[in-house]
Amino acid sequence: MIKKIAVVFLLSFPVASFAQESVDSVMARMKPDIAVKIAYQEIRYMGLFDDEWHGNGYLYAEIPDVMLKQQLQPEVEMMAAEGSQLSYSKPATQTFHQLQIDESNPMMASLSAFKGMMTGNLVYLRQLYDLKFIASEHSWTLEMMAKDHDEGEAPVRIIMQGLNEQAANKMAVILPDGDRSSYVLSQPEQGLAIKAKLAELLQTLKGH
Amino acid sequence: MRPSLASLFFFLCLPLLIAVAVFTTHFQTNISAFVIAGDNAEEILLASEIQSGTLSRRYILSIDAGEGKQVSAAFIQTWLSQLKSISGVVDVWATDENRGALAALASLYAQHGAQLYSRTPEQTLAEILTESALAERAAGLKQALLSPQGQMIKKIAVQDPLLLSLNGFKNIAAQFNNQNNSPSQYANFILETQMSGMDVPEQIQIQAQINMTFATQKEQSQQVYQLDMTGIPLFAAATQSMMETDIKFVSIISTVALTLLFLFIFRSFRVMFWVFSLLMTVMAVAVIITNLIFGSVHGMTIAIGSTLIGVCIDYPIHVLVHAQGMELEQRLTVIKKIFPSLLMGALTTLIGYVALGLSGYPGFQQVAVYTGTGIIVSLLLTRYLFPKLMTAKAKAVAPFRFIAFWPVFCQRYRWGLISAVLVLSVAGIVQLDRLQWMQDLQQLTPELDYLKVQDKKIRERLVSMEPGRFVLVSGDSIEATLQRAEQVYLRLDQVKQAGDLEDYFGLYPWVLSQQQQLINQQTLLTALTQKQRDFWRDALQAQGLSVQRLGELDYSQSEILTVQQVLQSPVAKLMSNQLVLAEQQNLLIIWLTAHQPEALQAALTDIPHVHYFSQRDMLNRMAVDYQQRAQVTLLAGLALIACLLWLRYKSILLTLQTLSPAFLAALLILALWAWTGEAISFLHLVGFLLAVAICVDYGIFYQENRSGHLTLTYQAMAASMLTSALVFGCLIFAQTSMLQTLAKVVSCGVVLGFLLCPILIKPKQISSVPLN
Repeated sequence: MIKKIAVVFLLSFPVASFAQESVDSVMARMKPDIAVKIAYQEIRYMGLFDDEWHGNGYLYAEIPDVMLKQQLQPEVEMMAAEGSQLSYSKPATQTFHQLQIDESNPMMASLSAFKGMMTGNLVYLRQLYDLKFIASEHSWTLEMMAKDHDEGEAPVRIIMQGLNEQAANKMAVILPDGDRSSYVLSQPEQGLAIKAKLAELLQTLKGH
Repeated sequence: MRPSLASLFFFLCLPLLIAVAVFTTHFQTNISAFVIAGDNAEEILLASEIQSGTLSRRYILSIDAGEGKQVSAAFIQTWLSQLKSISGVVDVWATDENRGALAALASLYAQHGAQLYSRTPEQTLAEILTESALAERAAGLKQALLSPQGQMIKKIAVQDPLLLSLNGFKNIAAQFNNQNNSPSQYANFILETQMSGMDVPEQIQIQAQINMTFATQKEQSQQVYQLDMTGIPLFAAATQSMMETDIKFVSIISTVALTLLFLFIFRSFRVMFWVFSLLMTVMAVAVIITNLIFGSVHGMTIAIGSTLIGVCIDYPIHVLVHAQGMELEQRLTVIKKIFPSLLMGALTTLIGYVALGLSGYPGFQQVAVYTGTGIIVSLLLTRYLFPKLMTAKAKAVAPFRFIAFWPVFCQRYRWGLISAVLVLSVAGIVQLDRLQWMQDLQQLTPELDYLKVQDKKIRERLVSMEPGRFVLVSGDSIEATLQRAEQVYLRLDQVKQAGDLEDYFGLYPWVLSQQQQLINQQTLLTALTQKQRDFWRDALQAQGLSVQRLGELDYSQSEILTVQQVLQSPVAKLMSNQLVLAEQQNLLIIWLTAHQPEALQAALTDIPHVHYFSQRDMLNRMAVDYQQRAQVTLLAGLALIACLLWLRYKSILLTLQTLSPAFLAALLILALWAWTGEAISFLHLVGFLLAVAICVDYGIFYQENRSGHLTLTYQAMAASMLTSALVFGCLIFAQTSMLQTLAKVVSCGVVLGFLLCPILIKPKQISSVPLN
């Protein structure tokens, strides 16, 4: 009996090692065929706020280089990264900005990271961050530390987590001054309908 | 001294003289230095800034990705790093680059919010410090903290909770949002070089490397982008290369043509060598003297002044025609005899050039000195050296058939020909009403139109400021200049409200005078009562913001922001095309978008040291001024020539006769311009003056006929006319249209003057016996 258990145990080693996640396997899984949509819930902890701040909405992405964050609550807001250009719109205050993405800006860093993750662009992420991947029995963690940061300031840290064989389900962005945002992410939905929806949202955003 | 020793000494000294001229002279090719001069200290400082300051050292580079496409960020990043490594490039940055400026908002401006929040503090505070406005401000602060720029806002808010330091920037952001019409298919950059834009050889190398790095990067990334460039260095390089090509080409072609002509007329290489050596001496001395007086010699001076050959060659030609083949003693006697005519001719020509120098064009002062020196040197060398260079071996010149025929024909049909000339002259006078003056100096350089079109195209991709029109504020200290500018901003606001100005870009909110900063802080501290502080705390609480960290409104500690601090920050880049700091005077430039010039001028007229400045209008005003001055001085010059001739001949009839070929040739040329509708510029006047100066010489030579042999005199005139017409005619092959203009005017003028002499002047005697 002991012998049988030992054989099964030994045989399970390669199987377990085959099941082991890597940054490449995670990114390959995250990369959508056409377009992807993820629902998110965000909590921000900020030193200048008395209470934590809550928001939720959807993240959309399309390969090779498009990403859109549609915040539905507490107020409708949209932010899109297309190539190196960032567009931001808040209909309630009729605010619209269009600017070049500055990856050293911590607030934009999370968007860049989302874009890299959701489009499965490992090359892009490696350009901007030092990556550290930790795999455990049931889950994986990807820690990203921004390469570009001001002297005397800590770099922005982004931590993504997910269950094995699945896309990320949590993300945390930790800013140099200690402020942070936590995201809970749903599992991705894909398809042509998502692509059409993303195109529609992008058009709405640009038309303010 | 024996003749051989004199010539040996001369031919030994000539290379030395040429070497001195070439190696000690500072040659200049900046076209604006040739035609632009300021009327007042501000314009002079600005002109020097345009010629050698920061503005002159910058290129605008624009990449076009094609319709609906975007320039890749990776491409830009790699290319910019390659550009920065080019030797002589100080910096390159995107025109919409705001990272440094945004960082400065948090690191520099946040601590000076109390000083910089407004130009009209009472009005601004009345709007900001009400209960509802403070509630709105707290809501805005919260929104800003949650926005993509939240991190920067956080840094500002802890120093300046009311975000007063951003107050002025609200307008500037709106301005740029309204003005920035750059479609995303373009990526625009500013490249600043270390050396002046007028340092053409260095700039040409930089331009080549910019193009090379772009082509390499394009190939590596397999993109189909297009690069366009503009900037003063590009114009300077184009002008210089055009000028160099012209000078080389025209020099070669005119040398070949002149050589052939000389061989045809004098049939002797030896004679040609004498005359050309003399001319080279004349030009070398003229270059050295001009360089000594002005510190440099402009390429245009040499180009226009080289036509001096056409005038200076006349003196040795006369000597050659009259004295070639004679022994030294006889030569000297003949030269002594004809010298008074040459001297008179030289004097009248000098008067013309002095008049030209007084016309006010900075370049023409050089041309006047250059040609004046040349004429004097040529005359003296012809009188005292040339007879000793000549030998008796050269053959005497046989008159051409036409030379013998034309004066005789004119004498025979004199009245008929005079009548025909009179009819033509009257018809010409009638045409003069239609004469048009060129009002726009830019028409002088149509060959650079392609660069002007490209410049306009690139600037349209940027903020739509009018590049050549702005408000110029000056002051002996930077504080005085800023205070004056703040008065101007208020006036411009009024013009804007009246709808006569779309927008303007001054130095506020980046810089404010110290006086205004102190007023702002005092007004704020007075207005911030306990009541306002309570409103603010309540507003923070209502938004869920930290009262502990944002509720304390302490604006008493902040200090004045100095211009030096700003100039040491990344913001300096944004201001460098608006601020010119010099020891005696400072200039501040307020850029304007679409506007009504008259309304602006009227609004600013009573503020001292403030000018509405239009570069194009200034140039055109200068053109009109120069034309008027040139007309007056030319007329004065002609009157002086007439007086001089009257003093010599003591006869009005003889004077008029002598001048008549030149005047009628000039009249017919003017009539031709009027008839063809060619707009005439100061350059036409220069050509006009040259033609008159040369033709007056013909009149004097023909009238005085001092050798007593009319055919020889007319033969000498024919040789002079042909060389002048040929030298000037060669300029028609130049690319520079300014030189083409000279070619047309002078060539036609001298031919006409030459033909008119036998018709209009009845000479003293006609002899068919040669002097020798």
